[in-house]
Amino acid sequence: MILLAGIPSETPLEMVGMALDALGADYRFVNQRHVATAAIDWTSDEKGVAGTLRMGDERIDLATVTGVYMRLMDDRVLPELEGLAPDDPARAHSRAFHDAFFRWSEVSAARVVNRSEPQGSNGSKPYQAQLIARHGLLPPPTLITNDPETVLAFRAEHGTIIYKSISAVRSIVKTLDDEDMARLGRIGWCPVQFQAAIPGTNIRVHVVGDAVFPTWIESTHVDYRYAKRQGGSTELTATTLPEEIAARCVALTADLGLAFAGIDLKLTPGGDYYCFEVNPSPAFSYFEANTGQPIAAAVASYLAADRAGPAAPKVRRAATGKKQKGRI
Amino acid sequence: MVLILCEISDGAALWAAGRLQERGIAVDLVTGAALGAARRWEHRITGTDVHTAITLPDGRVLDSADARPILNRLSYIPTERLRAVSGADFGYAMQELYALYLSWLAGWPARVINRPVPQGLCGNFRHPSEWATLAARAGLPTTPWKQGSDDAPDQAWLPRPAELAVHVCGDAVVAPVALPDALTTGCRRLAALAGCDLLGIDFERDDTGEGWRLTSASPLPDLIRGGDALADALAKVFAS
Repeated sequence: MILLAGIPSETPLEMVGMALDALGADYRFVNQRHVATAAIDWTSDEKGVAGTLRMGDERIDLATVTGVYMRLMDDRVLPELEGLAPDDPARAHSRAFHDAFFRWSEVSAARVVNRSEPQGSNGSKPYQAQLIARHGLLPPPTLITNDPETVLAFRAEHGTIIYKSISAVRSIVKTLDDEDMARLGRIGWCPVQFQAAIPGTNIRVHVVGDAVFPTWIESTHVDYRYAKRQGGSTELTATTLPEEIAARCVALTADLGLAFAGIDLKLTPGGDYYCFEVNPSPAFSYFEANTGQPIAAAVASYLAADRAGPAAPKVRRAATGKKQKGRI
Repeated sequence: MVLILCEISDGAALWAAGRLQERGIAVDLVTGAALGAARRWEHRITGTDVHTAITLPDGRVLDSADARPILNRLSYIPTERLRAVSGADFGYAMQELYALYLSWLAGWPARVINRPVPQGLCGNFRHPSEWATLAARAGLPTTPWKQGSDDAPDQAWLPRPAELAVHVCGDAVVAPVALPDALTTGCRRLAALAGCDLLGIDFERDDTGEGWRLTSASPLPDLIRGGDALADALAKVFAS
């Protein structure tokens, strides 16, 4: 039994559900919007983790659950709870159910894509950069400081530099321009992260188990995610990676304790691969829709693999070969 | 010279400072307040190389080039410089500083007890269900964890029975009573599974009244309860 936890109409969850249909796998949605009729009870002791999940009239023995895809939204803002007081019983039940389900997923023997704990590295970009560097992938030269003079020296050393948040909050990349320089003194309040601007082409690599799906990204803007919003455009193309780089991406993902990750690389004109970050909860549908890469199928295959048996089936080492393009 | 990072109210850290000095180990105490009011931060990552230099208000500089070992008792971010920030910006600044402290202490080139992780500045403050599951994997008798959708989540964090406090410090397992070998081995295994050089483990009597079973564990234990034996173990770790 596989559980897809979240809201079934959310695109990544829906796509993985369709891929599980194609595999003929047995799965259920843990639909957050039906939380009023859901219940869970579980225990952990010296014999292991056991319990029961109830959704409507159906009871599921948690020992039979072999895979979980976690796409839970913040349960406090579920539409069904809108307008309810903080101490309303329906809200209290929802919070208690979500906490109990989440805690079970963290210790369950099932394959969980992804558990919460290993996702934590994404909350500190420089911390994650240290883990990235240990796997032979280059992080951009990085400076975090509250001293304007040190920033000026860093800029003189590297030429164009960018700044972005240190944490995962407000994570938008911007080039340090003259307007920013005029207010540089304000960093004295709180250190800011600066990085050497790396020229080249962005590559998003989705890793599922040991399957690798690299996407070539050409954009008019520094941060391709926001190109359209800022009047520009981004073009995605399925591509391939050198075996060594693909292997490092797989090893990095596994060492972070993740089954599924979106890794942001940049290939420089000189042929170097830099790595900016590892996203532990990638919204892959954007990439699959524009390239045809079967990422949802890979996630489904990973979830469907017997936890006691072999690891996820190899879907492919690199590209789809379709070279399908999509302008967004 | 051992750096001790702690809050000024952390009696266990102050106790450890005194006991280490008695054992001939020089100590430099740095409070969270001093870190929070640091005049200058410089944290660089260049390939696999990590360099940090922090200038404190009193002029002391914590420089990774000096590679001094750290007893890390920080559990939250000092906010001295952020008192003028309000609303969403305060939360953002807290996240930014947590991310910075995590990277700084994770990349420090000397021994750090305990290293930070994303779930805690001095180690992972795990949910009781995770301690119960990890303890079972370590072979320790454990108070079963039960949770359901009728239970208030906050109840999980209430203090749990602690009739026996055991400390793991490096290879040493320190307890006020003689422990069975299986329990000693299990405690050592639990610390390894938790990724902690220093771990406090609490036990209560089992149903027979003769054995022990785990009730909780912490990467920020009350060191004073470990007494001289724990001070010796800490000194040994830092002397190595």
